[in-house]
Amino acid sequence: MIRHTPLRPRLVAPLVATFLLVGLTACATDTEAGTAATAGDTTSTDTRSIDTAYGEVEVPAEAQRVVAVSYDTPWQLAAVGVTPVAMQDYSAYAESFTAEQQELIAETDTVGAFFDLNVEAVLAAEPDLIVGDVLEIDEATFEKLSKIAPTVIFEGDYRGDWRNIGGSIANAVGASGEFESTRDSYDAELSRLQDTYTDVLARPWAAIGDGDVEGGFSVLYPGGSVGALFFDDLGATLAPGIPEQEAGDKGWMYISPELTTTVLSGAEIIVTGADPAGALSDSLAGTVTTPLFSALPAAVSDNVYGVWSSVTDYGTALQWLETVETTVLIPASAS
Amino acid sequence: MSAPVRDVPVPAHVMRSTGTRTVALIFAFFLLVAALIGSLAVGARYIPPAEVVNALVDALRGRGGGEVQEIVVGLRLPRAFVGAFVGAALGVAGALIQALTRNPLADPGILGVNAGAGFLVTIGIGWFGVSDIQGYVWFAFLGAAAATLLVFVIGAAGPSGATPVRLTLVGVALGALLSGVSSMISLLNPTVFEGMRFWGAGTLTSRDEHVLYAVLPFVVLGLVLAATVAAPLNAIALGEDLASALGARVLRTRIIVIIAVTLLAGAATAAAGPIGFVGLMVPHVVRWFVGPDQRWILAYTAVCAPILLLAADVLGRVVVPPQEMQVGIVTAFIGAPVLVLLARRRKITGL
Repeated sequence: MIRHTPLRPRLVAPLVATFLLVGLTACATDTEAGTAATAGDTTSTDTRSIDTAYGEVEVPAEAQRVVAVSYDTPWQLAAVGVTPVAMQDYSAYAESFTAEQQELIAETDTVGAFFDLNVEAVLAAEPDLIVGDVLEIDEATFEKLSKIAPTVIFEGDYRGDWRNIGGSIANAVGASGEFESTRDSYDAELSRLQDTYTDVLARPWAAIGDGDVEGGFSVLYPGGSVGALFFDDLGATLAPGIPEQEAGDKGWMYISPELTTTVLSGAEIIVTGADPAGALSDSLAGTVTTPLFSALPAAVSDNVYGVWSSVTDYGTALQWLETVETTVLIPASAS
Repeated sequence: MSAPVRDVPVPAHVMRSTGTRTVALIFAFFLLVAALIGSLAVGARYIPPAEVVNALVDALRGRGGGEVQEIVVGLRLPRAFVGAFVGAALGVAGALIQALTRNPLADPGILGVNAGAGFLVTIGIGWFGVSDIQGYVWFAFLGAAAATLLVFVIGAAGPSGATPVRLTLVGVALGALLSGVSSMISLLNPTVFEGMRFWGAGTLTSRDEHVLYAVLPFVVLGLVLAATVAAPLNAIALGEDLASALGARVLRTRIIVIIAVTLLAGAATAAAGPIGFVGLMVPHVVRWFVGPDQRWILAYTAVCAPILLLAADVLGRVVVPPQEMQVGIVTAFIGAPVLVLLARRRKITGL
């Protein structure tokens, strides 16, 4: 991770830009839906120092116009009660989001697509705080954004580390209390499910995702962004037969269609990725209908479940727990 | 018509007698049979040879079922035959296009066939919701045929007609255009991107008998057409004026070659996606051993190209367990250094 403390002159440009933008927006009559007030109401000059991936950054104590520049950031902000005034264009992936998220997508201005940030659109959104993560925002982009408004970019322990990044983002917008509250709710719900469904979780599970060839699939491991939910958080038991994860892997491994039985026959419960409505991707839908997959014990006993698992924060994590209970745990406990 | 082969000194590495060539061709055929057996016996899941044989015998007798039979008969058997026909189609298409353009480093891609197939598959996924290989086949084939036709129509415009150089230039230009548009659509449409992820790298995985039946008639027709133009292509290699003087019908030969290339490369691309280097390498290496006679080049290529493709496919199944590497990637790994080697040779095997 690259870290440095910005020099004082570097702070001048963003602060000047911020004041200019604040002055301009003070003339506006519209108020942004979901935010407390217009930027013109931000009379406070209080700032706080935030430790980010690219050094310490002074941010407004009470940011009013937050722009989210990374893929998961809007949901991490929404989970702590902050609605961004602009975020990425998710329209191409809209069906993979919940109805609630789709509402926000439809209502909010956009600043480009995934890995295709439009810096001019960020400027047009007149932010007083820009938030993102290092996966999409490199240091050069950070420098550009910093000239528009204070920019806080965070890095987790691994790609998609929503816990650490979400906590840092909450801190940046002064919502650590809300973050801890939703985290406590998640932990409490997790404990309830673990206590209620101990027997189901003790049965051998496999979590799979899309493969790289037709009829193939990937197995998801503890430590990966989705595998961690099932195996680390929920405490499901990993089925025997799942190959050892190789060092340096990102929490998943592609499996040849020929190894379907070898890898998955030990699983009594198989969970697959799905959209919020529970529909599998085209490739996974093809995989689960192959003769080898259809003959698996989990498939024969009707214990293959499509679970929406796009968790980006404790808010969506709570929704995920609800989905897992209704989609997997209740039916599996009856089987 | 029996056209003479160019009267040039025969290098020491070239087989001189018909008997030697025939024996070597029979040997190559046995190698192809061995490659087919290897394709049935070797895979990501190890199955002892005896079980492979039992699975095949049981399937022939209409008995059994189970995991091993499903892998051997359901997955590997159609995959092996698709690989064999795709290999033959790509190789012969390459040999034909090298002979037609008199360019020893040409391959079917220079007529825009792969790009045309890829473009219509992109359209099929994005606009018509095609999501499986059985659907891709027809879009790919239509795209390959349309691209070749377009290349020929544009290349034939003007007083000099459809010369090999004009066809090559138009094919490369059209291929670049179609590839660019396909990439743009894929990048803008996640559904297309997801669909092209499977097809775009060139793979034989999960190709079943339906794919084989869909493309087999076109491959067979293409091979038959190729056989009919082998002798005239020998005459054309002497130069078009001399070929005409010898009685070769140059325009007719060109048209048949282009139809055959479209059928072969289109069918191969439809079945397995774009697979590079097979159509370039095999005819070139074959020419090294059998000399410039197109009759032998085409016959050897039809046998040797499937050996290469099947060997590459088997290698792709075992090289990165437990996953598979697409055969198009393996042939690229093999083909790129071979291409560099060929390009660095002082004298490229002539046509």
